[in-house]
Amino acid sequence: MNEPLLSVEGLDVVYRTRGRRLPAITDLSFDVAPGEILGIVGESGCGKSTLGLALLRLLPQNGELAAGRLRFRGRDIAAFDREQLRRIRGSGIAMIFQDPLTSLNPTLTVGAQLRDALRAHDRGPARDRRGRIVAMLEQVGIPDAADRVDRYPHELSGGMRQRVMIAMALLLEPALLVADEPTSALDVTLQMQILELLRVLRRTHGTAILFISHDLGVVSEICDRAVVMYAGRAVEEGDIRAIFKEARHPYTQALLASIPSWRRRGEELGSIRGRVPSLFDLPPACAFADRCPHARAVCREQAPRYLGPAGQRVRCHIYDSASGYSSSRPSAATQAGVR
Amino acid sequence: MSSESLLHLRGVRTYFFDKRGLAAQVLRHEGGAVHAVDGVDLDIPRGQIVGLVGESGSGKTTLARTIVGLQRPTAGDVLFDGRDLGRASRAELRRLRRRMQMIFQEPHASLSPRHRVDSLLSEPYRIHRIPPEERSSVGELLEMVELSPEIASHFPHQLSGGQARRVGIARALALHPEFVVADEPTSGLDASASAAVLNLIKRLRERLGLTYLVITHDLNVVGYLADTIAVMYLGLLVEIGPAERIYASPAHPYTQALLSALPEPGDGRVERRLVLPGEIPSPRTPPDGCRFHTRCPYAQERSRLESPRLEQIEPDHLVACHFWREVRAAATAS
Amino acid sequence: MAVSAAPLSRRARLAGRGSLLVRVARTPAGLFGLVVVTGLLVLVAFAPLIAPYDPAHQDIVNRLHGPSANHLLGTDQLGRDLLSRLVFGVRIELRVAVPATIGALALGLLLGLAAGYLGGRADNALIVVMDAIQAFPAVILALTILALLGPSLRNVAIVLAVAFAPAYARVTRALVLAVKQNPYIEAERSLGASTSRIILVHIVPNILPPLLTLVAMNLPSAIGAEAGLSFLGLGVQPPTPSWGVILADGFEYVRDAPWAVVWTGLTLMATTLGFTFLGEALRDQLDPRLAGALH
Repeated sequence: MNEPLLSVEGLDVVYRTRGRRLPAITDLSFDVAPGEILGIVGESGCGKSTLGLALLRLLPQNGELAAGRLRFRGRDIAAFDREQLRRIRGSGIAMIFQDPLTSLNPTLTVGAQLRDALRAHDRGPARDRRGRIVAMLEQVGIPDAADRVDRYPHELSGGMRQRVMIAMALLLEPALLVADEPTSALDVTLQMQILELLRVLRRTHGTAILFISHDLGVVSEICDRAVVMYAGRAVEEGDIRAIFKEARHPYTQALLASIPSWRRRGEELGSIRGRVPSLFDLPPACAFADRCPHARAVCREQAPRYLGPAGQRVRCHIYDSASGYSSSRPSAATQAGVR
Repeated sequence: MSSESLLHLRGVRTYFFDKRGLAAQVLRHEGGAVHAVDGVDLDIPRGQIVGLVGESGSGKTTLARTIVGLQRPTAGDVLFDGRDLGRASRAELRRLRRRMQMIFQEPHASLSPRHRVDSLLSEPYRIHRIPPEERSSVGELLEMVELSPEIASHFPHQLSGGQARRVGIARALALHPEFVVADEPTSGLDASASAAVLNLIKRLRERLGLTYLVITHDLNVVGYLADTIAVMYLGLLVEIGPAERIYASPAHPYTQALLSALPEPGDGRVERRLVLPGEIPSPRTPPDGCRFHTRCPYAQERSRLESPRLEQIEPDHLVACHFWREVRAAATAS
Repeated sequence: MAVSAAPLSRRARLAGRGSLLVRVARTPAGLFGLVVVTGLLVLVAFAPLIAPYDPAHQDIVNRLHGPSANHLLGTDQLGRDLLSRLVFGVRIELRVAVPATIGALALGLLLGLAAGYLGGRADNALIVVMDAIQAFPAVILALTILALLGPSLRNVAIVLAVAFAPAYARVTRALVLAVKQNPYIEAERSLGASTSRIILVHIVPNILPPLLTLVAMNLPSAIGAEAGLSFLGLGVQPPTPSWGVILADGFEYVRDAPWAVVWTGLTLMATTLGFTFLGEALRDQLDPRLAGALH
């Protein structure tokens, strides 16, 4: 099947706050193929969480899809009305969040919530539901599923709650699972289990996963491909191995150089000068120019284009032969040196 | 063992007892207790960075707080520079405690929100009524943590995570301590800010001759920083040793699992993984015998009956496991 | 690179704009509150200029008249202009309500801080004290204190301060318990700060904002309580134009000349609603804004 499951093109998401426009996401484009695990990586404030909400049209009141196309199974979901969205949410696209405690209703038993999810999407005969729920809980690795199904969320541990979230998401057999920092709140040993679970589910159900995370290590574990985001923009995308071995964008390179590890014991970790710019106050052309060790004059004058072969684009003048980067002079800031 | 020990813990236990109502007290009903720290012996030599690793429920934060005095130990001794903190007079305790400081986990939340940075940094001097000659200026403190002087007039909410963390470090350094406990120094920070803090911690060790206890769940942090690594599980230390030994050949299955969870970015996926089943048991009801046996791939009958004690298997390398030989053999075979 | 110029929905455009007061004024409740409170402050400042008559001036011939050209709201049983009495009454009300509320705040703050921070037995003891005061029927409490001290503006304020203090104490205690959990309190402890230092320098400044919102919402209760006490004859004595006194006077004649009761009732209602709405609007604008304007 050549048709991507999810196709995001030129997406802009804007928040209106304190009288100003906050461009949370700008010109974001990527595709998710059926059964693929795509990572969206970036630090806080890069727009990755907004992406998750935008895909399921769960943005808060002051947020808006200002431009771009969101195509799911070929249909433009940005234009969907409430009823159409309701039908897609859950059974077409499902979402799991970082903190399972606040995403589960504390006053309903686990089974009741799962039943509600099923009921809302009219899947299968009513008689069957409990059986399917218990089976799914077992599948996600919850011991004593038949007993746990009648428990309340607070009676379960964090890891189990996350599994319940996954179960809920999967009961509806979505084609795409959007996972927003699903393991960030969990202990390392639990993280491993959940990642293993997601892998198994991709194998058995063919579910594609959009894995949103700030943790490069985790992303490298589970994703096939990744998109690196900075200040609301995609700066690089590619095969996961390619990104880690041969990152092209200076930001990705700097990010990789900053990860501590045993191997790096004797060295100083690479640290990016400056701070992530406020989205209210982005540099005029390339958002990374102020912090980039390779910045030149053109980087402050012209916004870099997102170019490259399909699935391997990068947003940087260095790789754009038409940008005039090679003939441009290094910017004064770069000459002052990077720490 | 080391000669120049700055901090020495002997059989430290810290329990949290449930509050009992009046009726329970009268009836002498025994409340429940959480054995957060259940018998820890640890030695931290001067000038070293000791990394204490553990997941939630391990008791590492409680141990840290017990060391700096925010929590009273239920049993055991904490010796700082040879002096028993439990037996020191109030005045001596105050003096001793000034020599050890803590950097707290949350960068912003550990700074009083209605105070400016310069006020926060001079707070320690006001509290201890330090005469002006012995104070470091705000400018000096900021420079030590590589922050620009304008930061002095900011409020905590105006600072980035990295800046707030550094202000916390500067504040901890104000009293010129010898020993610093860093609780999750990279939590709440972006990759870049994290890296900067780790670099700073290393640099300060060289520049000021500090001794550190770094508490973290992140083995990458500990692998990068620590000279000695101590692994904690459910209130007990399960393995302690020099960092190279721990990384090269861990002797406890829990350590092995933690290490195998580290992805190797750039080298493709590591095939051999030790994925532990189950979850960390509640510290309220730790398993009988070896606390780890409920999740341990090497567990046998003996594990349920007998709790292993820390034994020395190499110079400076201790482990609490009945089957450490098998564990090591398996680890080095991969 | 230009961000797309597609227009945002009206809802999105409005959701985040303006300073605190502007945002409060944008909600219907908040606007009402602001208008009422501003109006009251104007009346307090300019009462002699606004009121057409001296509130004590009697015009017996025209007693118990309804609204007319000369007396916009009518007259009471002694021919005094109701409008003037109500206008001057604002001063009386605020002269009681404001000290009462401040007194309650001070007392409650003290008790709440002790209970919340010290915890343990001090906490238990103080809660018992607060419960005791609150369990006392307010009227009996008032009667007792006023009988001992004698009815007057000042004493009414004292009574109200004592009666309201437990509520402030409880809120303070809850706030202190919450703030106490914050890591920065622990950080100060680990630096060696003494208890009193922590309370004064770190806890109080951080709990004041929500307490002040409470004050805004509680002020009308004090006004209402004063009116009630005066109505019962326990508080301010006539001829001082407290609204309660006006109400009490007018009560006798409510069947034939209900004006006093009607206008005073409406004024009380408007004042109470005004402060309450303002307090709620302030609270709404302060809280969620803090918790993430960007999400």
